Amino acid sequence: MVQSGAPSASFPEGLADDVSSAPFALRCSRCRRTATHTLSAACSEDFAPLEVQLDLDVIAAECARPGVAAPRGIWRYGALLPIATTARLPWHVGGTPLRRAKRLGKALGLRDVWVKDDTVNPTGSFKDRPTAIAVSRAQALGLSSIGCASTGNLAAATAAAGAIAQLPTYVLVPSHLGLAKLAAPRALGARVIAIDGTYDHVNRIANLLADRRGWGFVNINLRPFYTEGSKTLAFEVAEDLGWQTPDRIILPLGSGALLCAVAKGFSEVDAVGWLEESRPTRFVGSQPVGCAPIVDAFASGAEAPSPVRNPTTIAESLAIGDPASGREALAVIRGSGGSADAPSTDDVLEAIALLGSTEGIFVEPAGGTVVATAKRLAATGVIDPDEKVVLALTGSGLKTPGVLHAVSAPAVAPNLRAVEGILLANGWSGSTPIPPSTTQGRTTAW
Amino acid sequence: MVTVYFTSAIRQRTGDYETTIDYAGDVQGLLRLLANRYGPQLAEALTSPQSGGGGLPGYVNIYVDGTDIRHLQALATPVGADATVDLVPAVSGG
Ligand SMILES: Cc1ncc(COP(=O)(O)O)c(C=O)c1O
Repeated sequence: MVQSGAPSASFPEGLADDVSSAPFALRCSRCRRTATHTLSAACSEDFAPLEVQLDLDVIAAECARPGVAAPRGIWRYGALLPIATTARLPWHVGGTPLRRAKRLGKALGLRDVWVKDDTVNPTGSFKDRPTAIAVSRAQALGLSSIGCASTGNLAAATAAAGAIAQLPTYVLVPSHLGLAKLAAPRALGARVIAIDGTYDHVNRIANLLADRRGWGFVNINLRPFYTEGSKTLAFEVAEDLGWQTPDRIILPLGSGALLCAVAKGFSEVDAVGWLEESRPTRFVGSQPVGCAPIVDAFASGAEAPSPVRNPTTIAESLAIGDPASGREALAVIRGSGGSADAPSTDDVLEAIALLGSTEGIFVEPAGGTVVATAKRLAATGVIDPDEKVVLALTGSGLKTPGVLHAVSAPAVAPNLRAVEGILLANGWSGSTPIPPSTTQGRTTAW
Repeated sequence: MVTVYFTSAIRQRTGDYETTIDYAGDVQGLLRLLANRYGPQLAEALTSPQSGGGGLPGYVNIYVDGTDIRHLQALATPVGADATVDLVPAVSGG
């Protein structure tokens, strides 16, 4: 923790009375001017995105890696987060497992595959990480209400955080979302507004609404803090690999914010000297066919994505036609020597099943997209079999059962013979059946 | 009357959440009028060199009657006499 120092002119926030926040400044990512408005995501000079810039020199000098006594979860990395202890939302988020995926690796022909299982966050997706930080910031600013524009997962995360912070919470979503994604935020107490339009319509309206009401929308006017939360996924991956970064990490792309945040996270742990050695990581972004503006721009060499007007994909959480961090994500991917890939719907569904049956993890299509990309890149030799590869599994399949309709089983009559018939018809006779004579005898004895 | 909504950093610059303008033409012409009203710096920032191509602003999305002008005719998109135009910094994701 940062324990000393008066506020400095270049890093005005995060020192003095809130000594436990990382020292930081809110700056324009392009012109580097310090922001004049605290509740904003864009520079008032050139309208480019604002970002949180940590004073990494001070942190390097004063903060060691978190010790064994520090509990797992996002606040373990408080030294690298722009939130004072007093404003931290008391919500256990993160600290999710990074698992060696030997069986999946074998199926892919890769020897060192790891999965970051963020499906086990409280509301079933990585979105709890950015939301926890954004809502903590809302508390620090004393905001009266919070909200978000969501493709589904963020809605539940914001609703849960709003319940814990006891703030009125407004959740704007496209009305075509699956039942689970609409029901969860309602059950968590949010005021849900389902808009008849695409995510990009929802996002535009949320932008206008948040500003006019002075509400803190986690992915809009609190966005610089929101993306700070996603960094914690990178911190956990690095720590759980023994303070190393992987050779390659494959992440799903919606707006591109997660990928950029993970890159920022790796570079920050490197800059403060927490890594055993500084190694380059290739970033791979994955979007499904039907909504792949960042992948298309990567392929065509464009600097920025062209928006997709009507996304058509089963991966509704990735159905962002106009990815706001697309330009930045492309720069990270290209700068790292990575790539971008768009698997088909069939590839995604197959990958969900492959991951489930090898590792026992049930993901939504965003996770299937990532696994499908790993499979495609392994098959074409882009990934070397000995590389250390991390796959980011960002959302649980329990919220998107609808996509698996095609593989749902027909109902069977409630008797043993009918079930045995199903076993026979499918060739599911893996274990030794009880001999018919014995079965018969027992049945009559009863 | 054309209604123009400003938000976030753009609203910080204009000081207004919205304005109405007696106008019909295209987006380019509308931006020129807004520059007269709020100063040339605004129009300059709106059409900065961070262009997404075709002279479009890079960090600002412009919507005419709810549709992003990149799906229409970019800066040449018609603006009807009763149109609603939203100027929104490009932030999203979630
Ligand atoms: C499960 C899941 N994975 C990935 C993403 C994409 O994240 P980003 O928009 O930061 O690229 C989202 C949401 O947008 C999501 O819900």
